[in-house]
Amino acid sequence: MVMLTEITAAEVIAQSRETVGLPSSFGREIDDALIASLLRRAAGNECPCSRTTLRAKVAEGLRGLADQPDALAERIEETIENLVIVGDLLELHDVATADQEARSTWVFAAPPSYIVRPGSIFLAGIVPDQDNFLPPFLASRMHREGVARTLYPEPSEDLPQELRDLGLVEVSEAVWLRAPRFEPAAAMLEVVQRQVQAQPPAGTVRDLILIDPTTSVRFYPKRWTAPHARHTGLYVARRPQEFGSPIWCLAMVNAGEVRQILDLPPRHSRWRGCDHAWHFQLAIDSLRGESQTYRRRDTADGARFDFFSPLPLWAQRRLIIFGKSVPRHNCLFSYVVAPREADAEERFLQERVWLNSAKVDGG
Amino acid sequence: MFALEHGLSNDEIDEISRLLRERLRSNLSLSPFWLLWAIYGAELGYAYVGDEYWQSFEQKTPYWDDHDRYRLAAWFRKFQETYYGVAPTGQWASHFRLIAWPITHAILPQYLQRQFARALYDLRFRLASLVSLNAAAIGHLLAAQAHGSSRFHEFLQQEELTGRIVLAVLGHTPKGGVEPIEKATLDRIVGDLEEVRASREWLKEARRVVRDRFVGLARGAAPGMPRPPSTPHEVPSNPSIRPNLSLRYSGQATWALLADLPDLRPLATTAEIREFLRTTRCQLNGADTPRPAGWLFGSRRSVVLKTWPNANRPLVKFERHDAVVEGLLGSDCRISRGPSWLFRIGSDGIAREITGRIVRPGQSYILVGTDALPKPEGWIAETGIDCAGVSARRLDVPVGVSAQEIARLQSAQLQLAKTIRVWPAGLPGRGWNGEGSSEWLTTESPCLGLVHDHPIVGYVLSLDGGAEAIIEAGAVGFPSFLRLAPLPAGVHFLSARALRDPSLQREAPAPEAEGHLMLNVREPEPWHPGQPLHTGLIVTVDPNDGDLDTFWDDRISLTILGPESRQVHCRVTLAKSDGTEVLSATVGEAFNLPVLPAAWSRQFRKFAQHDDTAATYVEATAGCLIVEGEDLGEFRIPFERVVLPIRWQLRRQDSAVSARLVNDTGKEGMLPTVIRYDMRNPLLGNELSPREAAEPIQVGSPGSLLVASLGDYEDHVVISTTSRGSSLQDLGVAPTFAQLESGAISAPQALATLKRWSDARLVGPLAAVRLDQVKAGLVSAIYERICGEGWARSEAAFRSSSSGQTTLDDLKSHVDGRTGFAAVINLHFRRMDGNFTEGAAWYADLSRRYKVCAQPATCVAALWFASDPARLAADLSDGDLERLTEELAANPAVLRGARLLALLSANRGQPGSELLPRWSW
Repeated sequence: MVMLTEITAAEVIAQSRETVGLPSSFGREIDDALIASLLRRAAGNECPCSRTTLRAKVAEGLRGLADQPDALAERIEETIENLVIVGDLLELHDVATADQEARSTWVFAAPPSYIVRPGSIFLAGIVPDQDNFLPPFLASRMHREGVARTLYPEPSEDLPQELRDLGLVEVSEAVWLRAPRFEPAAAMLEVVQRQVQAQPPAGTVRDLILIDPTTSVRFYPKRWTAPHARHTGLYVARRPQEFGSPIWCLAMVNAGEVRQILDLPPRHSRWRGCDHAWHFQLAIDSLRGESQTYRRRDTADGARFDFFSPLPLWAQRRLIIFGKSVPRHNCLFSYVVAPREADAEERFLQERVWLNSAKVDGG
Repeated sequence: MFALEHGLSNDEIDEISRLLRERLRSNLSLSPFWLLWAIYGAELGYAYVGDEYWQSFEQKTPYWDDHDRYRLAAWFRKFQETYYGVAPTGQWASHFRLIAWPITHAILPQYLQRQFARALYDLRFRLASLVSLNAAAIGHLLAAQAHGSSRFHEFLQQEELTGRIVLAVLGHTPKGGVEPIEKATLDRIVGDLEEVRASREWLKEARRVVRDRFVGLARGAAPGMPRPPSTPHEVPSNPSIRPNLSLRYSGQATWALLADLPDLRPLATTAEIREFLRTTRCQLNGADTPRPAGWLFGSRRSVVLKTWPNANRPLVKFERHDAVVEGLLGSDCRISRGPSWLFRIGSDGIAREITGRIVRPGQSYILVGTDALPKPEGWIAETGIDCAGVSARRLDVPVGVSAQEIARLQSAQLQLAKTIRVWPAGLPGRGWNGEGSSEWLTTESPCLGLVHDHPIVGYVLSLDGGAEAIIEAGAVGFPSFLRLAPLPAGVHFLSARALRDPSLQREAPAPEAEGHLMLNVREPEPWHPGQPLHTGLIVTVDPNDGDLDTFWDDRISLTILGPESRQVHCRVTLAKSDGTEVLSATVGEAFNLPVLPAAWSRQFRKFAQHDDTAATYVEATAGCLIVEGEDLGEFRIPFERVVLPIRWQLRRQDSAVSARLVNDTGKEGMLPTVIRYDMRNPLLGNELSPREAAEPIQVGSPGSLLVASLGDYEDHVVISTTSRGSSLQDLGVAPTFAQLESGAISAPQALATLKRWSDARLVGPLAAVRLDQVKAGLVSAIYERICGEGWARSEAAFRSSSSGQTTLDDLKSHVDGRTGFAAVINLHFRRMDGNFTEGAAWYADLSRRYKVCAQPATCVAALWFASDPARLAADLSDGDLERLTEELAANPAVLRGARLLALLSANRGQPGSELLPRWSW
């Protein structure tokens, strides 16, 4: 006879952790590693699909299990974003899946791949039916830091060759860290402003929200607002659509009235709409003399960088590969970067995304 | 027993080998030592690399005579009779009758060991789910489900043998305590297997999983093990192959139907079904275009259907018949019964089918039907669906549903939800439709949540109608959770019935609420590198089972879909039989996505015809097309040269190529027939003597067709070579067909030769170009023979003239001496653009009306002849071909009319160089 046992919420979580190969945790704690594993599993089953589908699948499974259900949806969304950044998920636009005629934006499960770094190998990818695409002898050596998964080669082995033999695809560091061509902020905005102005009149756009550059760069959620009479110029905005996340766009606004809209990403771009939008916002803030900021604190583990606004994928991916994600405190997200890489990464942040160093509060 | 189980040390084997070779050199009798020769042959079989057994045997055994091959096989037979030895079995063994003995007795040749270890690892859960470990069942499982090269699959055809090796490698002693393989031999094989770390670890994990299963206990970090089925039977339950339907919002209040089709790999319970699924095209119920062979083998597919599928027919239909597959598809691979279908709209805008037809207050649904649907009114609104044959309604069910509205739902055969809700808890539900159906693996312990919305005291639970278990219910709205032990593969039902407080039930009697969950349980599918996942790169190859020559001759259709912003590189690798890579090169520049067949073909032809690349291909026996999409992934399509029992083996030295005939048919006393044709004189076949055929044949520029045949086996190859310092003129070939012109060779004989040239695989630089010239010349010469010299001159003028009405008028005038017939053909040649049968009927009618030919069958055959004579030669028997050519020769006007039609059709009504039209018949 099949055993059928009543169990507690904590036991459901423990069972889930065991199934996805995570060590047990205390009580009903649902940590980021578990959410990431559940998302990978959902992606293996569902992809290609929308982010909303992934979020809904994981949220439904965790129904009645989380201590703080209200915060769960947001944490799942954040983890999806982090999985996109580490390359486990690919968010692709202009892609045909079932129907060659219907192109859309979908989240795909990335194929199993690896990136060789000095002294470590970074893993990415998802396969259906298996929570880990490595055989047990390698899976047991995998280190998890946040959503990142890393292997550390032993001196006597040729680990990249073994991974190749197992069928993983090698992605070069240069490809993985590819960034758009550098342009000064003013030049970039000038080009894009002309493109927006070339668009036909937007007509009535309901429920559009935009980032108000006059608001504090230290609190990203509060920067979003509906257009107001005081708004004139080029803005990063989002407009809603039926079923699906709001569409990222650039809006030309005159005294609160939306004149033209350019949806993001532009056709044939390899970056996501949000990556373009955040990049433009960084440029807009920089040109206004109110550059977005980061906070650097040197610790025993390395330099801790705290950020207050989202960064484009190509900028944040560097932080994951050169450092590690750490719990945030009074900011949007934080990374600790190894001491030998910290200065170079700080220069990258200042030069490529126009960030300014903020004063360290109390420290 | 196997000859490899000799129990001798390496030193002893070396010594025996030395003594046997000495005996051979001294021309002493070999027979007295037949047993040692069998051991010697098995040892060389163990080191066999999959292509050339005899060549390496002869290299290591000086003075060995070809004829002694039969003696070696005889000694193995004697070994089999004397020591209860294993006899080779399976299709491969019946084709390769001699080498099958030493290779079978080598047990597991070294070059297959890595694939063997990987297959055991991939199939570890399936092995563990067998009711009992016996060699036949294991061998059967491996033959049907393992992934690997074609040679590996041939090896797996010896099911009993592979089953015994698996038992031995897994350390399993069958009942009675007899080891399946002698211990020292097994240790040697396992030792060789474990020399490579990956193989070692794969075997270790496979052993662990199977051992745990057979002591009934799961251990370690890997997922828990499935229980054995409750009723012991060797055949597992049918896998779930039910398609999932969903609706995707496509804007402007319109929905599109999306069918998620299952991977049919689980149906491959035998090697025959596996082959059928890999090599047969299929058609979807609700779509017009046929899908390539293997489309549903190894990958789930999502397709948009523009016509609602017929619920009375399976969703997938194969072009060929297979009773087992059709039976399974007929019962399981179909959409649910209509006439209406319910879909719940999720927060992601995807509406998933609710087969239970249950609606819940506060939720939104799409109801689709072939018949009349509820009238749009109130919370039922009309909505669009981009799918022929159905209409749709959107249902926004209010929170409070009145009795009248419940009745309205019931009239649409919908039910308002019962008050117990069951869902997969913890792990996200695989295939979970939100309302009662989910998919699990045999390695998982399903955890489920239950919640109720009115006071109850407990749930009465039952799995598959078995014994009931009662668990206590919490307060209203607070979920309870339960865990099931891992379930065997198949479909299971969990029912949960509400247990009301008896006093409450007395005071306010109500029907018991119930919730149901269907659990489709299956084995986990292994991941195979380079195979399609649901990544951003969708690669389709048709046919998907083409061999290396099919690929190289550009007879595959390749499509690569993906995001438009990305590019892919396509790399081709070629390897020799010993695995040495002889080419790794990128085809053209980066391809922009999507890559369509024409773009691929254009680039690949240039690539394959490049002198260096073409020269490398000569020696290749395997290749791989690798689509590299950076972070989108890599897609590998392996191609292997089919190793025929009789085959040409080619070697390249600078620009010269030599061909050596390999005969592995094992047909004693029969010699192969070998004919050589020169490209400059393609009809003149030169039959080689047995002595000449046994030696390597040097092929000079421009090239030759080599034909070898023995019984049912044959191999044709066109070899093209270029000599150093070739001029531009030397690049082409100017064949002559004097034998046909003089009558020394008849038209049917010429057609048979044309077929040989057409069937051959091509190797070497300019091979395709030169073969085209040979075939075009030969076809023209055959037409000339039947249609006459005057016609041939007119055709040649028409094909060499780029403009001018004169050449067309001249051609028309040569059809039948009158103007009407040819004029009508000229006017209406586009009738052949559509359906061939209709076009042919029109031509037959026209021929009858103009008194050119009163026999419709002859008119149709003339069109076949005029459009694809090589295919005609392949399709008709020698007698039929002779009769047809005689008939056409007696009435050439019908063929000339057909040729006029063919030329106009091929060149769009203007003079042009195309010789043959692309009619499909």
